[in-house]
Amino acid sequence: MSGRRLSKSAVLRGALAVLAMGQLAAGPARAGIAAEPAAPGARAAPAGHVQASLVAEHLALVPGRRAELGVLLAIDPGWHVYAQARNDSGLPVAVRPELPAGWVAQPLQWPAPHRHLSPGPLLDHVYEGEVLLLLPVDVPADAPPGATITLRAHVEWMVCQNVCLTGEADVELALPVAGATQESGQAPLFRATRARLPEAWPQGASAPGAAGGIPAPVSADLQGDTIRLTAPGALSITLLPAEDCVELPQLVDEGAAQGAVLVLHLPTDRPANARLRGCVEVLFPAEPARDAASPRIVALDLPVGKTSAVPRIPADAGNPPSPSPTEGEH
Amino acid sequence: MILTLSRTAFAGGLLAVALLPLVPVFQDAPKPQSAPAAKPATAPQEGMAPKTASADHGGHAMAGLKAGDEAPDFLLKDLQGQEVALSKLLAGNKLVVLEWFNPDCPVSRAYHMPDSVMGKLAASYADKGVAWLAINSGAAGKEGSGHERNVKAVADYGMKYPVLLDENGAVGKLYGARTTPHMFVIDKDGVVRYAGAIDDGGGKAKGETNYVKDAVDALLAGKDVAVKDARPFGCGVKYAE
Repeated sequence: MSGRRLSKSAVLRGALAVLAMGQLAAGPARAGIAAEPAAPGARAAPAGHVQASLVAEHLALVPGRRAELGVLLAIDPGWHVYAQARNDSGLPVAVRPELPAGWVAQPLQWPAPHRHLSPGPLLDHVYEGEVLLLLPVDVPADAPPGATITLRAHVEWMVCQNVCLTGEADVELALPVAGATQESGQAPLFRATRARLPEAWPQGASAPGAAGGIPAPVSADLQGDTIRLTAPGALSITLLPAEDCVELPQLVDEGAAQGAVLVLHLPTDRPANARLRGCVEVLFPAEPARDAASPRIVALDLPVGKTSAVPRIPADAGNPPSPSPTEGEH
Repeated sequence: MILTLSRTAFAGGLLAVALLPLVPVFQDAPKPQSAPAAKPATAPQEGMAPKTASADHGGHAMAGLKAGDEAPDFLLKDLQGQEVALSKLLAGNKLVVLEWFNPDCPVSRAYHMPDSVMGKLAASYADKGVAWLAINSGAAGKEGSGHERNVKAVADYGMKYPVLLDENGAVGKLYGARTTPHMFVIDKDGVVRYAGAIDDGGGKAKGETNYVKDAVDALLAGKDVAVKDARPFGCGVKYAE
């Protein structure tokens, strides 16, 4: 099979890359990151397979406003980097902002990743192709208009195909401070990324849409050691669990289901404070009123402890009824 | 099912020791014996792990052993071709540390080069009745697999403990080893007392708390292990397709 040939050449490249990275990590390049501008050569990913850059949604930084920045990773075809999620292997991408005094970075926002199975089976949640990790930055009110500010971040990742490599880069972006601004050429990428950020799950037992008026397309029902997620009318439901999600022993088989129902078996010995955390990706059929290209991503944070009584949260009435309430069950 | 298998294997191991005065230390790989040694249940049997795993693990092949689980016996060959059996080490009153290993995984490598976190820790226990074993469950042709590559790694990394090859992945799957490294500490009674990450360093070999050290120190002192698990990190084990 051609896979074997590919794998061998990848091993060779991998070995070389590891050597190169070892030298780089040992050198002085890492020490002076925050103190002085990185040398031009230090900005590129040293090992290949991933190119990191810092990008912004707008062309200027406005005092007192939040600037929408992001770390953009362009990943070679066939390779993947790891989300901050419940993964069997890998290391999640790590971003350390390095900002001038008084500038405050908000927590990194991760778009919904994809399931990735490798032999074992090992189940990971990854990004392929291109991913933008949103890094909002609060611009101080006293930022001087007319000045040019260089914002920096240190980025580390593990990238895998048949082999795994670790990589790191110092990325930076210089932007002017101005009283007003307009969109950059990257703005569509920011919009597309936001479409893959989880929308809020309605809190408690309140009606769907209570949080910000967004209708929730999915409901949850806990019975004993089984939780059932239902999204009437959905083509598929995929659970993307967070790192601190309750252990799901059958996640490989149960984490993604065709149809409107996803059934998860919880461990019988789970702790009383166990929570189902992460998000679900729900794919609906195309229809005029909805952007067919945008599956719904809904945040999950539900108590599923042995003694928890999860109130049944009704599904959004705006979605078409499920053709069969048991569809998708095994 | 795992429990059944391993109990049988342990019984066999104990029996073998009753017959043989030999108590193999890990550096002396078990020598070929005239008396029949225990026939551990696992390694040569392909495909035994995944769907037949214990009901405790819910059918998830890689759920992994947890602290408190009985460590299933295994029989693997080291790079010199000598068979190494867990049951024999335990019968020799050894505490056993298993390190899932891939010399070409940057995380595995970081714990061996340039400053060998693994090697130093293993060496510190060499005269304290602790057998430290590296297991490579990478399938033939995959990253870091094969006899030649691992012989070179032992030399390059200065490893003083055996590397066992598990190319069909049976032992890796039996233990639920997911990453390189993925660590298991097994007490003298054959019970897993720690399973998971080597430390809290998140892959850079710079952890402040080495969970394996803490677990082994506790067991050597006759105490309970405080931290019994920590989510392992590293490259995925390169199992056979």
